[in-house]
Amino acid sequence: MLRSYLPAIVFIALGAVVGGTFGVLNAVLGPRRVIKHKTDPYECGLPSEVKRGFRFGISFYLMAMLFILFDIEVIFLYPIAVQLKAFGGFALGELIVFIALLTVALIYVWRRGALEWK
Amino acid sequence: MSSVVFFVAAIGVLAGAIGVVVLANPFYSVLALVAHLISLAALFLLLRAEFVAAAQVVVYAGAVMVLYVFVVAYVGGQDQPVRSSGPGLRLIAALFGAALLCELWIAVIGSSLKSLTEHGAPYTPGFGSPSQIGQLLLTRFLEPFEVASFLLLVAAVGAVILARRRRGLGDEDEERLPGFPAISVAEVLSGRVPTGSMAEAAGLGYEVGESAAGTRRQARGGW
Repeated sequence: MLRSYLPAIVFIALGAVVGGTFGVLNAVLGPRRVIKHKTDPYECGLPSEVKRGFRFGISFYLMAMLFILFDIEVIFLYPIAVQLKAFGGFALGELIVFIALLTVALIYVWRRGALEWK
Repeated sequence: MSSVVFFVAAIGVLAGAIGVVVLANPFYSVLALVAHLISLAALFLLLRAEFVAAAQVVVYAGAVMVLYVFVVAYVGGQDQPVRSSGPGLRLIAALFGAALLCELWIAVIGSSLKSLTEHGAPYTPGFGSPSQIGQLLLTRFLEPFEVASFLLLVAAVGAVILARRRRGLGDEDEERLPGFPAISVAEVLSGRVPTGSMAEAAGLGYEVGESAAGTRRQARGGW
């Protein structure tokens, strides 16, 4: 079974080796001239107003949560879609019920205005 | 070869799990959790659960970790390190840790040790593929599959209500929120939603400019 994943494993190992090599070479060989402006998070533009104790808004959390919900929905759709021909109308009906319930969720979220960025 | 992959992945799993608990910065904890989950996906792959491995990476290492990052960013990062406070909390933590350890040992001694000398469950071709999982979802696990969609619906409603409650306590329709959401199916279908920006977007008939509407929306604290 692992034999079929050999290309992927070689790919990951090769990527790790190449990336690691360049990182190490850069750290060992690269010149290090530290000036004050280099250590700033922004080299140009307005000075950043973000302080250490900065908190993100709850909107980010809500968006991520909703994204996960519909992400999980898509994950469920894949196996059913593969079996659609074998099961026919039954699978289609089940899928429609499944999606209809989530459409209710989508309409609720949309009508509550949660899809709008605040 | 497979034992090499197993040990690399197992070390990754354990190191990631330890890192989540030990690291002081919550952002690093989340990163350790990502490493833990990806190693876990490798273990699933070794068990030939290919679809589960892919879902593990897509849903957990991708989406759920993004959520965790946002939660950590919302709660606040380095200024409030997540160190335990007070002897009571420590005692409870030790108690729960001991209970979990007991449970794990019962599982290990009860079943896992017996399977050390065996070859495990037989492998049938197609196991772990999306097609087989789809077949199981449509036959044996039909009810859980349908209940899952209802669960997702509840989660969506809960997320919106929690975010609203957290957002602004001065929200004018806040008092309607506890209990159940103050929105009916008829209201949704007719488009008359008695709250926030959607009502404004539908145009409730006050002749204000775009900027005035914008400031008003901000002052009310959104949904």
